[in-house]
Amino acid sequence: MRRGVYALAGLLALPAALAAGTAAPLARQELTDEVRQCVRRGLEYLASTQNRDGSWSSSGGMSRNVGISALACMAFMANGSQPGRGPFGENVDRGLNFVLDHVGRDGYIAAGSNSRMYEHGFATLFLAQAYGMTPRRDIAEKLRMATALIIRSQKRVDGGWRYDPSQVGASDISVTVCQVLALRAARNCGIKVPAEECVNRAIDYVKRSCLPDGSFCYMLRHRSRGSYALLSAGLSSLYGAGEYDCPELKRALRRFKEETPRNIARRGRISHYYFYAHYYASQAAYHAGGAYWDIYYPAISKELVENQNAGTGSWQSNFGDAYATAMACLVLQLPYQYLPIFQRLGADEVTAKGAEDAAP
Amino acid sequence: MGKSLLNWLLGIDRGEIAEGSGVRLKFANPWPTWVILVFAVAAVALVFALYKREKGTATRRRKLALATVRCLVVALVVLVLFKPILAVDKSELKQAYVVVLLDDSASMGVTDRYVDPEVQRGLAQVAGLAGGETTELSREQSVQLNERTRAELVNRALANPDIHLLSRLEDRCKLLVVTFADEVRGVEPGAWRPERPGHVPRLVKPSGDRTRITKALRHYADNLRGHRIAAMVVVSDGQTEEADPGEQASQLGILHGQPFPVFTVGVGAAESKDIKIVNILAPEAAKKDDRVTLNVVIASRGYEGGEQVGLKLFRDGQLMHTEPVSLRGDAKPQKVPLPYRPESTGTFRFRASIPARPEELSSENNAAEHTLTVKESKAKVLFVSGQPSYFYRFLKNALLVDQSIQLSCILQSADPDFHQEGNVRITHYPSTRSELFEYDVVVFSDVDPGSFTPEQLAALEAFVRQFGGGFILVAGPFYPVAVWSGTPIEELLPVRLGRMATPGDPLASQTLTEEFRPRLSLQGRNHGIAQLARTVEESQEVWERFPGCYWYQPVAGPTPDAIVLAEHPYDQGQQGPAPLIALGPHKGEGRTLFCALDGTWRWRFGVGDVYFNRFWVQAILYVGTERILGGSRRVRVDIDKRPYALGERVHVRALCFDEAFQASQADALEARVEMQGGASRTVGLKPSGEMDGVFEGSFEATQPGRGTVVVSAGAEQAAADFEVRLLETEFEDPTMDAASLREVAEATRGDFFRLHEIGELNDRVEAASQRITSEVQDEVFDAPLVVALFLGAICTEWWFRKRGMLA
Repeated sequence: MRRGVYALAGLLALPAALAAGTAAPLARQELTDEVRQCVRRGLEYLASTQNRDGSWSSSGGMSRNVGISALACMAFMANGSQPGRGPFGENVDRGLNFVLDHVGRDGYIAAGSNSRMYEHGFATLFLAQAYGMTPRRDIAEKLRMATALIIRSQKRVDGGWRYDPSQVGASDISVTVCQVLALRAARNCGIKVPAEECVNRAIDYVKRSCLPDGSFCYMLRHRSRGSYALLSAGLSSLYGAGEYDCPELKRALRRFKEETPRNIARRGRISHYYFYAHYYASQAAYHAGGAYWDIYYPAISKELVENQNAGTGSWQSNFGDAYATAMACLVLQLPYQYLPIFQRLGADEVTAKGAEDAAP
Repeated sequence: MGKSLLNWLLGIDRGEIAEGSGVRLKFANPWPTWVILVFAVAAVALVFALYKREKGTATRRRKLALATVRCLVVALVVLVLFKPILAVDKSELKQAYVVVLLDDSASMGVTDRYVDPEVQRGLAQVAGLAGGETTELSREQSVQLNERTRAELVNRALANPDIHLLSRLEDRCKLLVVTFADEVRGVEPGAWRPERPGHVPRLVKPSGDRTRITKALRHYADNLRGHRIAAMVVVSDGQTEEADPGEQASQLGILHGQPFPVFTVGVGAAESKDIKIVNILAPEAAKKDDRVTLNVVIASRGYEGGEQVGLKLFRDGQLMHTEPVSLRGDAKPQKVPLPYRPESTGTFRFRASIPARPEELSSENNAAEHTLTVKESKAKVLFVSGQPSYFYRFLKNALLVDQSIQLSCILQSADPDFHQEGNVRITHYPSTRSELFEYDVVVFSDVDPGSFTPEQLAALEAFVRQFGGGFILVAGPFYPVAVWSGTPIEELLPVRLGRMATPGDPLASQTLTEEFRPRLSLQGRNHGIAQLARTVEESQEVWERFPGCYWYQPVAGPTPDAIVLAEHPYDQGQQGPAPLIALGPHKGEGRTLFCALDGTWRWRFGVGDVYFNRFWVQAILYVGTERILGGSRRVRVDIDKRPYALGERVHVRALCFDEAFQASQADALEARVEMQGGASRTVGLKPSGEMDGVFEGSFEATQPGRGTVVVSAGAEQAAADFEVRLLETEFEDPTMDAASLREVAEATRGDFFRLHEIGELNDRVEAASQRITSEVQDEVFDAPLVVALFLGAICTEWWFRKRGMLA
């Protein structure tokens, strides 16, 4: 039955979203042509160096590494390509094949003897980002297996994760952040992640790793002052676990604000964990938003642009150029806002409640 | 006497023969000349040959006479076979009708500001306010003229002894004087005559609520069929609601059987200054704290443009805001947006007005009103997705934190024990109508059709069609929309399903590297859903900046009544550009939207949630309008229009369902009509027969003002507001509509005059009333004279034969 001309026809003018839209677009001004060209050249480098099987050959013993394939493919996806779609769609497809081909019967994703839970975490995160974006049906099953392995590998003693996929031994915050983000991404795909037995224990572990000065210790038994990389990993773990307003986060953000300037202005002195640190530091700053991001991103993008190899478009690190280039591209492309794992869920609320309170 | 005898002999009765006209003999069935000649020669030869061979005592001379008589008889018979006719011009002096139609609609009560000095002088003279010799009006005379209503000027002109229009028409014709507005009313014969010198009969008393010129003309053209109409004279300001009066007037001759001229006399100023508030474009309902824009549409004419006026906005009688407005002056509508954020719930009456200026023709049209109902309710959204696509993940997160939405999600691919997300978490897709009808909008994103039972799909159809629910289908590569063919969902969509891309098809499996940017259609550019910035232009720029997409779901094309908001920039469907985002009209009660793109999340590039969220929240709120802002979910009541004119019938239509959301099987319902400040009454509603659960009834609007129709069913009730206004349309544009009057006159070969030229009508109508001459034809084959000649010839021959002793 047609309701007629007197139906409520004029709701067009009133959507609440329009009112909310008075907020300025987040980062359009940050995406300078220079940054975009820099990213483009980095991705082209990755595309040109990818092996036919979807892996990358790299120095530092990192050749045919599932973690690097996962990070590189996520760099392509952060640019808007998807499996089978976009200028790097074929590269993502090949990388996806490589990762899926290396999902073991137990769900452990590893290629070669060098693979550790770092790589498994990155690969699981990548599968979670690709799930639902390609009609191939094997992702779901293997992502479930990989997620189950993470859950199974949570350390009995402290609730975190370490290099090996076993429940025995103590955890470190560096591996734990990879698993927390992978679990978060898997859960966002509809995969069951037990809250009580797994998530809450992981959150507890991360919080216990937070020292009174806001930094994070590497392992609970070594409660020494942590590094910028561990600080960034701890912050990302809390955001990834949905802890937007806890005291540990506020402490860590205060620390982060202090540490960031001296950890960016290290031109020419790239540390061993430089890219790892900024991969998580960028996410922490992005989720914190406001002044954190406004200070962090222009500085890191400037530094990365300057450090890019002008000839190849790559970046260098001890773990190989593919790893460094993938990490750099992920950092620079955060404002693209194309990867769901990087979505600023409740970011406005975070800024209002947590970050501003924490700001000195 | 001689003429009468001849007429009798010829068997004709033609009355008065036109002077100087001759009688003409014609034949209805003449033979060709050569046949006549051949026949004549043959007949004469035969007759004479027969008589020559005749034996008897007749002399040769007598035989010759007999043959001659026989030839005459044959000739007479042939003549009768030719069907002889006597034609003669006949003259009749019938008095033709002249119908004078006087407009007595409400707009004839308007006083005009006449600017042209010549018009002023002419009007003053025909109205008897100035003598015939006056060359320039005094100030007093001008004031007097400007104070007279149109009706008064017409009455005075008709009573003017110097013009004598009606009496002179009556001398020559059968005069009918009538008044008309919506209906015609006769004036008593002779009532137009002044009773004494200086008396002005009040023939025109402005009262009618609308003017229907051609309806009145048709009435008399039809009623006077068979009578000659010399002319009709229409005295009016031309303010008619009728469409294309010229075209309708051109049919009058056909209706009457004979053409006749219509002379129109225009009353009022054709050009004047006026400021009119056309209407207020705004939603009728909104949610608390939403931003509402009251768009006040103003039309001004006669101004040079740039004049400043103050547009006042009142809410329930209290002045809220005064907006300075610069008039266009060219009669084109100008929209003045007045933002408003309702901070409390309730029903508010807004009035926008511009204080009347002294030079304005009418101050009656300087205001408009609008009723806004503000509610405090969230849109309840059920979001179902087949896969954890980016569209699902981003939109789910956006809707979770949107204050205007209450979300429940079903991710079909999720683990069985996965806690589905949402502000209100659910464990399964609604299995009953009651569960489904808790929502306002259902969003399907690339869902698996196989997971629904036929009952669930039927419930979804009813949700949209009968209960005003909103439905959005977003395509994806997992389940091509063609899988919905043959299901109730297909009927809900604003697109026709056709070409399908399965996951195995190239469209879904090849690497797609070519980007395309959805292009807004003309309708899309102006549609609220697609408005992503403060102005249409800014919004268009936003759309043009969006990164492109790689994939879309091809369909056969939009349904005929769909609104295509965005289309493919170069791919063609069967009926033009491939539709990418299409909005359905009401599918029954509800609204639907189809999106062929699964990549709208790409609009997040560089700006995050801003445009992606805005578009989809707007789309959800739009398709869910009926339920979000509606009242009862089991009872709906609608009235067919608003406002009504006094005396019109208000048609009420109610849709009623029982507690199980099945169509009501009641024999009747009752509607309560409540007028503000007046008594309430009850109106019976009966099943419409159109479909179960629909009840209809009507009542007459007998009292001006605002009212409410309330329909109850059990504990639930629904209401619809209406308004009864008096004479509104007559004042919308009070300027004399010379164009319409001229059209009517020209379509009938009449002429158009202004009121100050009314005296010229005397000569024009006189020329139309003349003596009528027509040819009258009488058949004479059976006339007494012909019979007498035939019998005479036969008898003469018989007598001669007897005398001649012939056989």
